[in-house]
Order: sequence, then structure tokens, then C-alpha cells
Amino acid sequence: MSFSANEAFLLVDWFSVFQDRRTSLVLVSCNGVFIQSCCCGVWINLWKYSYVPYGSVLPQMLLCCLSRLAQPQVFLVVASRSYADFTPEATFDIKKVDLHRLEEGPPLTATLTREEGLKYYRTMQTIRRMELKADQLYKQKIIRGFCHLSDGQEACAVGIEGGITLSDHLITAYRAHGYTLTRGGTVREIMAELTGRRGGIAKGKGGSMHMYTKNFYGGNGIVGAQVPLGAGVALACKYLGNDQLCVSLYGDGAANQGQIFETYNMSSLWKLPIIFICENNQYAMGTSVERSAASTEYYKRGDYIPGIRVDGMDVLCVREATKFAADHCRSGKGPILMELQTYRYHGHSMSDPGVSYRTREEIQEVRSKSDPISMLKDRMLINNMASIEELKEIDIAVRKEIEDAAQFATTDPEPPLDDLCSHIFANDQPFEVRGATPWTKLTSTS
Amino acid sequence: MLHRRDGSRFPPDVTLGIQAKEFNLGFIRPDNLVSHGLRVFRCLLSSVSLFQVNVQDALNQAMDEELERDERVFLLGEEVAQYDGAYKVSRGLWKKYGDKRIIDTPVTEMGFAGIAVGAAFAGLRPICEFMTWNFSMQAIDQVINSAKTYYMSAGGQPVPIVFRGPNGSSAGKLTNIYCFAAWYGHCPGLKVVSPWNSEDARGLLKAAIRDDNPVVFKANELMYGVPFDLSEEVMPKVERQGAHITLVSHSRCVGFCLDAAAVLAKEGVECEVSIFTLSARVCELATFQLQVKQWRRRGWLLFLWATNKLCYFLIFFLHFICTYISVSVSYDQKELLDIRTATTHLKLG
Repeated sequence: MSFSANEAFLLVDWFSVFQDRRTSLVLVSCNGVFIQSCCCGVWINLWKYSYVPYGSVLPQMLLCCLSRLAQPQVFLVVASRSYADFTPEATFDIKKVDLHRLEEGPPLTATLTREEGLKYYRTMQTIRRMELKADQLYKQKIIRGFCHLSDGQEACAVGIEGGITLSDHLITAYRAHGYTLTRGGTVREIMAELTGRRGGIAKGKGGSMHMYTKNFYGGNGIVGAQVPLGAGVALACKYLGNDQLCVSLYGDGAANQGQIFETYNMSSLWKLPIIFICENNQYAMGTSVERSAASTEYYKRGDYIPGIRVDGMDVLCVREATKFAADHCRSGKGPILMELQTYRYHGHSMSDPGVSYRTREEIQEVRSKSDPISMLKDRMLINNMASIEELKEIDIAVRKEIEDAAQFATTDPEPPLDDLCSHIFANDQPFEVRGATPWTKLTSTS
Repeated sequence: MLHRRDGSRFPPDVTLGIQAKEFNLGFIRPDNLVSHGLRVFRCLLSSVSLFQVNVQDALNQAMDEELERDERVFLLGEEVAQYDGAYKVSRGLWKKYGDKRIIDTPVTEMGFAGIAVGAAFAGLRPICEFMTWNFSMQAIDQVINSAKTYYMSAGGQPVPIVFRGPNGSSAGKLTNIYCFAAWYGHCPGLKVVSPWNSEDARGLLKAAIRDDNPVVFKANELMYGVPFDLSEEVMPKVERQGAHITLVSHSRCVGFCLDAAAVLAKEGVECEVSIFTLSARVCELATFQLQVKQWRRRGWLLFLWATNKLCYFLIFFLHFICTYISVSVSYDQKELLDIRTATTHLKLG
């Protein structure tokens, strides 16, 4: 049975039936509105008692009659709901940003569609689960070496990606797993790279700090060195005239590096399309911002470069600020600086418990009050953009994905020994490489 | 007689070579005249043009040709544009190619070296010039770590960059005269080249720009003004034939070796200034040893990594060896005696 309707939400052509087996109550609903109930064979029309838009009365009456006639067939319990149960789009107020050398900032409201909301939720949950899984694998000594986790900072990765496109460029420092994912990497590849297997994103040769995808330049071990590299990428964008920009991230610790100020100078001089983003998670390893910086207003440190300070725990705030910054760069005004105030729950790296320089209460407070995933979840539930079951389903799916990836990462073989010396030079003839002793000879291929 | 490209003549002291003037040897290198004559004869036979070009102009030509050939090549560094290059190596390039491709940077080595490497990541082919290699110490992290990216990305991210600049000693200076060939030569993934004459300088710079790998290109500032024959052909790398001793060197010291060889020839010691390392990679040592073994039955192998005033020491040493120790030592790889002379262990400037 299908009904043409003058209201959008009546386009559904089946109705859901809810059966309560204890009391033999049957409720028939159309578009989330209960229109009939049947209890022990007594049918009652409910549409009189629930709000229905004016134009839909006639179809609903028809529906009631038909459902009564089709009574024997009615007892199909249809489990799924129509998409139109949920609000497709909602506008939220976001925190005002602090401005430096700017007249106007990003807007104070942000619109979120349901699809976007679910996508952000899923990505943030994936990053969170992936980092926690990496923590687990590290403690089992399956991941070794360095491992810097970014749980708590998911909104930065997801929000920035929401404000730029995949054809733009991004470079960051070593807390890079989340960015690798948002820039096109898969969880399998990332986890296999952490465990150093051949299925990894850099074939097991890069590790945690050297993951590369298209238009994503890692993953850099030297603190602050990635910022001039990002300016170089921006120079290439301007040189090639392709209207792309480069996002260059660094932390509150790196913000004191001299090469970053050198980069501010050159990028401002040559008007490079670069967005400098300082992810201020309050601690540079174990040194809090008050103990390491004479000026903790990192968004003002660019001096002649305009700056904005943004709440980095709110994905919508980050997204709107990134869009604003991207427009600024693309219009040829030159660089802009964004400070994202965020927090990491884990210590600096896996060798740091994270509680010798801060209190557990502080971590708990941030987790309960400003967790990015909870914030998004609450927003979506309150505005009926998704149901709790749906979000739970996403959680389950993400958990499964991470489990599969961890399984792959644990069982995939390591790269072969022949690969040890390959990729030293690009497009070169194979040549011999001296091994650890003068009589050990290895071959290098490009 | 030797002439400049525009037809004017060099003054006699330059013609004789700065080495001759410095060490007061006071003669034109006879081997060069002989090999020069041979080359002229061969070129006349094969109708190949032969110019006298100094190293500076050879580097300029190389960069000009590569900038023209590939849109992605560009030059950045201090004073490379409007100043025509601190040592005039990039003379005329800014006028020809403009601000987009010849970029003057502020005095911030770490910053602009990083920017050059980042541009190489994104697909351009930069030439990053350091005013001297001493200043590259400010940016050594960016140079060394550019070499790791291709390996750490398992072949995903090549870095086609050339770092260029003058290296080693200069006339009368105490500061900014250190030689960094060995420093950079120890870095895996980095190609380090150190040419001597114009032909090698031009050829190697072109090859370096076309190479998809990071290349560290060092020349000596004092060689910039010295003219050499430059032809279209690639000349052999044996600068002087000899049977007793092989002298191996790079950059400016090749000139010392030639001078020393000339003096020793009078004493009856034939020195072969044959394989001079264009590449300062220490692990190519084995390659030389093998090559020498193939060519020769007996001899000593001497490495000269030096800078100032070493010629005197070299002549003395070789003379000592040849006079007091028998030269006819049977040659075997195990008995290969290699003696390295190098800078006095004193860091100046």
C-alpha cells in the first residue's frame, strides 16, 4: 500500500507495528505517530489524540481503515524504523573564539546534518578504540618502540578534516595515528604499521611516527621540523597554482622552536597558503604550558600572523574554525594560526603513566565534562538526530573493525630481510650495502 | 694560452693556478699541458667544441639548462636572486626566470632548508643553496632527515632535492672554512658529491638535479675562478698516469696531488692521480681498492682529504717513502697500505 502525501514525513509506505506480548496490545504507528491501538481485539484510533499535521488527516484515516481490514496480516513486527524518525539537520551554538589581528571570526553557530554527525561519531570512536587497542597491544609487547596516543584529541583530527578536502595537504608531528586515519589510511594498515608488519601503511619500515598517505606527510620525529616542511608544501601549492593549502600542526612544546618562527616569517612574507595549528594539550611531555612558555597565548605568537583560539574538544568548533581559516588562506591573504585547546588522556607516550606531572582528578574531570565523543553523542541524542541503539550499533561495528585489525596486525608476517636495505635511493640501480661487519653484504633496490 | 670565454686573456698568475702561486712551485703543470694537448687533438679530430670555462660558470650553465628543461626546478637560498649569488654562481638567473623560480630567502637556514625539503615532498625539484656549508650546520637536521623519508615511507615519498654550496678552505680565511664532506658522507640515503673541475661540476650538478634523491653538492670556492676545458664529451677520470703510487683525492686537493706528482716525477717517482673521489661516501673505499687491484700489480694507495698547505707534507712524505722504503712491495688486498692524510685535528671557525 502506498499513499501519496502532502507532507514529507508521510512518504513512508509501510507502518510499524509494536506488539506487547504481555498485554496483547498492538500499536500501529505511521511515521512515528501512533495511529491505532488494538487491545484484545478492540481497535482504537489514536490519531485524534496525537498531533498530526492538518493535511495528513485523510490519508491517516484511510490507513486506519485499511489496517483494520488487513488485520490478520498486521502481525508482522517490523523491527526497523524509517529514517524520517530523526531530525535531518540541527544548528548548534558553539563557543566564541578568541581573535588576534582579525576583525571577525568564524560563525557562532554550526549546522550539523545527521549523516555528518554519524560520520564524525564513527570516526572519533574509531580513533578512540584504535588508540586504546594500541595501548593494550603495547602492554602485551606486540607493539614496541615509540607509541604516542591521541585519545582525547579526536575532535581535532576529525574537525580539521571536516574543514578541508582530501586534495589539501596536512603534516603533523608524532601523535599522528588519528590524522593518518582521517587522511585516508585504514585501521588495518595503521595497526599493522604499529606492529611492524608487511601489511602496514609503510610496509612495516616506518613505525608509529612515519605513516604516509596521499597528501599526508607524516608523522615526523623531530619536534618542530614538520612546520617548515609544511611551509614547503604550501610553497609548492602556490607555485603550482592549484588552490590547495597545507595544514601544518605542532604542539604546545614545539611552539617554542626557533624554526617555527623562521617559518612564520617566510610564509607571511611570501603569503603562503598555510594554516598553522597549535594543538595545545596543556603538557609538553611532562612540562605544563606555564612552565615552558613565557606567553601561553599560542594563537598570538605569530605576531603579524592573524590567530584564533578554538575549543579543541568540540568537533563543530574545530570544523567551523578550520573552514574559516581555509577561506582566509584560499583568498590569498596568507597564513593564519589556530590554537586548539585540547587534552590527552594518556601520558606523552606509552612509557609515561601521565600522572606524575598532573593529577588523576584533572584527567577525570576533563573526561567527564569535555569528552569530544560524549559531547557529540549528547548533542545528537538530545536533538533526536540518532537513537541510542543506532549509536550502540556503530560502537559494536567499530569494536569489531578494531578487533579484526588487531588480529591482522598480530598475525601478519614481518617484512623480509631482503627489504632491510631497499628504498634507500629512489629510481636507482641496485647496489651493495655494507652490513654490520665488513664481510656482510646486502643489496639495496629502489 | 688559456683564455676566458669572452676572449680576453687571464693574467699569468691565474693561468698558472692558484696552487702554483701559493706554494711557489713556479711552473705550469707539465702533465696538464700534455693531457690538454691530447684533448685538443682528439677534439679536433672529432670536431667537438672546446671552451675554457671556470667552475662558477659551469655551475651557472648547469642550473640554467636544468631550470629551462623542467618547470619544477627552482633555486632558493640567500642572495641568489638580486645579488646574483654570493659567489656569482647564479648570475643572470633571476633576470631570466624571475621571482617565482629564483627565490631570495632571509637569513634563516633551518627554515628555508625545511621549506625546500617540503617543496620536494610536494613534487617540486628545489636547489637549496647554502652560502657556505658551514652555515648548513644550522639546518643539518633538515638535510639529514630529508634522506630518511624515502626509506621510512618504504618508497612512498621520494625527495628530489639538491643542497649546494661552497665547501672547505678559502684564501686567507680562518672562519667558515671547514670541510663537511666526511660529515655528510656518513649519512645513509644522502648522495654527497664533491667535484674538482668544470666538467665534473657541470655534469654532476645536472645529474644531481635530475636525480630523485637528496644530493649534497660541494664545490670549493677557490676553484670557482679556475678555468678548465669543457667539452660535450665526458672526460676520463685518470688525471695523470703513473705506476708507483696512486693518489686519491677530492675537490681542490686534486690540484695539490697533481702538483705533488709533478715534483715527484723529477725524483723518479711516478704518481697516478687517478681515481679522485667524486663521491665522499666512505663505503666506496672497497670499490677503489678492487679497481686498483685490477689495474695494478703493485702500489700504495694514499687518500688525501686535506685542505691547506698539505702539498709540502705530501711531497716530503712520498719522497721519504720512496727513498727509504722499497716501493716494490707485492700488492695484495691484505697488504694494501692506505695512509690517510687529512686536516689537522683543529676546528677553526
